[in-house]
Amino acid sequence: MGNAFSPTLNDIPSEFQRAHVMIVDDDPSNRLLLRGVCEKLGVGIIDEADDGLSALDLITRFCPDLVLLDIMMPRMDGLELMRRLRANPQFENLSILVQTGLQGEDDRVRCFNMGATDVVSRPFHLSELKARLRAHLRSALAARVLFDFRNRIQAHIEITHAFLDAVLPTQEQARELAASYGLDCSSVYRPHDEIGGDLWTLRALGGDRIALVLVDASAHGLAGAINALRVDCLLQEYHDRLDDPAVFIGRLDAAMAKISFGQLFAGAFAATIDRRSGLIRYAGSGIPSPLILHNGEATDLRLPGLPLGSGMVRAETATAFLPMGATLVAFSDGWLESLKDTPTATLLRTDAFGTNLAEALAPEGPLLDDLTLITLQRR
Amino acid sequence: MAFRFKREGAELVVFISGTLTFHQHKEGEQLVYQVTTLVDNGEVTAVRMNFADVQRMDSHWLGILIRILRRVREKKAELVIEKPGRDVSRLFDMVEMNRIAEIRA
Repeated sequence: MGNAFSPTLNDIPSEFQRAHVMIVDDDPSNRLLLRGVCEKLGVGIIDEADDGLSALDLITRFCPDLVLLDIMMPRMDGLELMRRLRANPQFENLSILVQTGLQGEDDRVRCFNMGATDVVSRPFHLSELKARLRAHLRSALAARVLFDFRNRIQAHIEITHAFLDAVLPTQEQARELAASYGLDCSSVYRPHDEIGGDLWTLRALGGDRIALVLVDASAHGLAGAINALRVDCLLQEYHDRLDDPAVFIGRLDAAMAKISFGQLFAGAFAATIDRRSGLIRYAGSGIPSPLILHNGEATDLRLPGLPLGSGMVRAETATAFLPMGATLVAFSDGWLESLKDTPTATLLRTDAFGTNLAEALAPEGPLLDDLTLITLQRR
Repeated sequence: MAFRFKREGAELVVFISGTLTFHQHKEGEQLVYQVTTLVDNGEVTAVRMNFADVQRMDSHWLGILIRILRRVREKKAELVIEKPGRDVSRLFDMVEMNRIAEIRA
């Protein structure tokens, strides 16, 4: 017996201490033999079942890492058990090591076709069985680590998605708000990964004006979403500056440059639209220039400038006019990169309008970057 | 993505190649660290960044460039961007990069 200062081999945890093996065999002496092999390898959890039906129930409940499976069994044989397990997506990667008295090549091939990971014929050499078991357990445990990691990351993505959903307007919310200002709003928001760094908002200002803000934060995926949420905090802090879009953009730039140690950048566009006059006051930097589409022509609202966060943005508030029937189209880089043609040519080709426009313009297929496209048509 | 350096006296030439996106984040941090260390030490007073072999660049790498540019300016050194391809030039045009850095075709 070892002690804390002189451990013996028995004290050193086995690499398979956390492994879970299920032995499925109707022969008790086989089960005993296989249990001995597993114990010699230091397998931590060993379960047994004496037929396929009870094994199916146990495997479904306890999800072992590896199944040592006999074929010829009453009630449900090993082939049928494998067929049912492989039909369940939860078990498509379960390691199944068939140990069987069936000797023919056809029998072995049938086992593999039904989903066996490996086949060992009886009588087997114990050392070979141990070696195969060891190899498959290592793979199974590595796969478990990966699956666990994937599930954790998926949970993080879902939580972050919920955070973003709380700050992004739904299409219905945007349509309703825009409609109360005499505007038909359509929008498309598609992250490059499951989640992304684009952000946009519509906000009612005092009087007859509504504000649109579009942000393309640096990075993709979780990192992009975190950056977008950081920028959203600043949007909330400076939203009272939206009256003067250049001041708003300048404040954002300065704040981002200060807090981010040079690692948080974003392109942004901010505009106010007056529903009575159609006057647009806008500013932005580091983002593709929005367009006004009207009577078969597209006018570029030029927005040159470095990304926000550089501390070097020199935004100026410019003005444009949105006539009745004209559409303001604002978009992030992702839409631009998806086009086979220029934005102007693409817009002029479409015959969609109003609340259907953004969907009509959205590309099919995989994206190179997060994509946000917002249209506001004055009616 | 890859980069390599060539020293020509007090001038550092950085040859960058491949795709520059957020997924090359670690390489970007390495580049920032290595270039700014040389500039901080006074070993280089001019930096030329050659983009001839860059296929694609996203806004994350604009941020990398801006960080390098800021440090170069703080140390009163020079930075020149050379031979950006079509895709990279589009991005530079969008942000008017030529207002803060010399760009040579």
